[in-house]
Amino acid sequence: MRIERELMRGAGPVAVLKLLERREMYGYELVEALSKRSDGVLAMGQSTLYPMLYNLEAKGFIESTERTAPSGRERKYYHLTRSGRTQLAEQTGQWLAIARAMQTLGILPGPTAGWEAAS
Amino acid sequence: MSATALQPEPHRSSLAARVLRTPLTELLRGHLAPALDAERTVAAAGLPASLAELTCGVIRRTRLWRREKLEVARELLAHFQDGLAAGAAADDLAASFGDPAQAAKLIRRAKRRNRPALWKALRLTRRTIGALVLFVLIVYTVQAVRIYTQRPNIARNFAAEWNAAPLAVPESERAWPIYRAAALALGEWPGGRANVSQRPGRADWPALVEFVEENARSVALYRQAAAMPKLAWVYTTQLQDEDARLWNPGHAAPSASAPAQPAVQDPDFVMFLMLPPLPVLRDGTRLLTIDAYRAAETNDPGRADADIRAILQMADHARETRVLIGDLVAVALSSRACDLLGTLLHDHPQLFSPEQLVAIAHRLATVGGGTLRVRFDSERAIFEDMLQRYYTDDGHGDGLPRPDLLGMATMVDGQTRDNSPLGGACAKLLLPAASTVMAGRRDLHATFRDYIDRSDVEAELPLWERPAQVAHDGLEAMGRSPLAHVRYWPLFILAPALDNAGRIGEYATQTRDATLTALVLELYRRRHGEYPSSLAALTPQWLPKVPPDRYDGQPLKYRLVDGQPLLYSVGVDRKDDGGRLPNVPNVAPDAPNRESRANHLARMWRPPPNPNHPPPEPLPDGDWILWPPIE
Repeated sequence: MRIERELMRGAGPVAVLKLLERREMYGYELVEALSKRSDGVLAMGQSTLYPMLYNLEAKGFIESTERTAPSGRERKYYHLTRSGRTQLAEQTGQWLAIARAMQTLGILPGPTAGWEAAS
Repeated sequence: MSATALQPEPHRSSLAARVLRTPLTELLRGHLAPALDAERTVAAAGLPASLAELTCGVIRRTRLWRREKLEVARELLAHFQDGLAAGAAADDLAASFGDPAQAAKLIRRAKRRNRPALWKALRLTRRTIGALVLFVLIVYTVQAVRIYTQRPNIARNFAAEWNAAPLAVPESERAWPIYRAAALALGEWPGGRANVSQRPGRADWPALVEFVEENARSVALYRQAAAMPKLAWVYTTQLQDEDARLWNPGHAAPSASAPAQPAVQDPDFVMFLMLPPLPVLRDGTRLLTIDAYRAAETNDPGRADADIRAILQMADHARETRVLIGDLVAVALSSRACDLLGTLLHDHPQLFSPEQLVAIAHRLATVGGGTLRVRFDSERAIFEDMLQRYYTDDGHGDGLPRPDLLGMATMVDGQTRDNSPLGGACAKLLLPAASTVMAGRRDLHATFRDYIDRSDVEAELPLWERPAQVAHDGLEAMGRSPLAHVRYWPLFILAPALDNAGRIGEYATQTRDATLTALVLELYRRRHGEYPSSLAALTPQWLPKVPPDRYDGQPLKYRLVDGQPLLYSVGVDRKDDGGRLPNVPNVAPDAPNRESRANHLARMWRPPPNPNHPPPEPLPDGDWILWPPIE
């Protein structure tokens, strides 16, 4: 399923922040994880991911360190900052609010779906 | 597709190592090290060609700094290498990359956000300056189009209005052709016109007597011209025929010292209308003044009477020109007649018959229609005419300065302006920019009108009612601001010093009134055998009322000193000092013209003493002597 660009622009950064919440990751790893863990819905190419990472870095939500991987290759690893965690919490709250609203409206399935029938 | 073996390039090295690694040609080009060359790094990575090409294309399009490109290149390389290591095909990796152009754009934008604050501040400064320059260019262009594409709108022909009256005068009643003939017949003044003393007893008197006798034809012509009802000078910017001869250098006076005619294209431009009658009238007055003194010496009252009347008529002819300078000359000629008459009354009290004295008194009282006030109407016309020629017209009274305005300063004051073609071209280029600072037509006109209106109000007041020179001081204060000086510079060039012009009429009125009083005192003496003890004795039989002292509004001051009358004004200190002249600072008591200078000081108006604002210099402590004359 192809997600609208504007929707992706909102969902992509929070998805990346969420992936980095638990551990640091490098670019290819992030691409793969996004694709696999969202069933391809949030899959994004390098042309989208790396500018997004640079933007998050510019805003101070993530930081990068260059290290040599066990494979011997130089990689840049990204990890979440304290500011990034705060941002992730805020974004998560907002997405939950949206999801609840969507459920209320019956767009998403959930405990309040079907209010029309009830009313 | 199989992945090529990876050969990662070491990219963390010391500065010295990078310098040593850099070829000399690269160093000379300012490139520090191959380590900063992203494309070399890509090439060295050994990626499949499609991926290497894609990476190079993206980093090239980012147009980032070399270091930033290298960072991006390494990250993309690592990504592709990870993908290849994970078993992905090179083509699949390239296909999943996305749009390279879009990627380059987004990467560039994101990377620039990561740049140092100093760079961001410089960029903001650059952009601000750029925006300002663009704004200025747009304003300049708009102004330039407005200025250089609009023609002047000459809505009113002031020259034609001024010429309507003289053109309506029949040829047989015109004085100007006779004045011109008198001027053309006049020889060169002995010692030069400017140095003529015009007084008996001076060193040049014998030469002047000889000169007058040699120029008897001019004297007669001047008297004949003065007897004509109207001067009837028709204004023009280019003198023709006989009039042009007056301006011809090397010709008989007054042409010898007259300036060359300026080249004015528009014959109706009132600012450049020519006035040869004024120097001609001044010359005639000099000539007739000498002739009148000579007549007194030879006891020829009829001739002296005719000369005085002719000078007074010349004053009226000068006033007929209706311009400010014409009024100033009229006042000067009237005062010259007063000075002459006053001197003759003192030195030759028996010269004129009572009938002649009465007739002269009546004529003197009616010069200028009874008022010697200098009028400012012509200045309004000159300024309005300048505005309609040198400013665009938006149809609602406003407009911008036109390029011709730049020439005005040169034509008005050619000595101080850059007249070179380069200077002119620069000025024309600068005009659209300057016009954004300069006052527009409406503003300039309103400011000028305000100045003239205030000056008019002040000029209407007698000296004793003038608290200060508000109009002049206001203009002067405005001129002290550099911005206002640029904004209103045509005003500062064209606005005449009306404060002094307004006072000159008052001085002349005081002189005329005193001369009339002296004349009546002589009539009284002849009737009663002695002078009156006070001027009140002259009213109402001889004078309707005692003329006022222009400095305090009270009756003119009068005393008898050794049986001889002394007429005076309290002068600028507004204090009656009994007819004593003030001291002249820094002038020896026996210096020539000391008394004349003292009298001049006592006459020159200054604001009344104000205890809260004392004047920078003390007011001259003395009186303005009006009669007997002080040379």
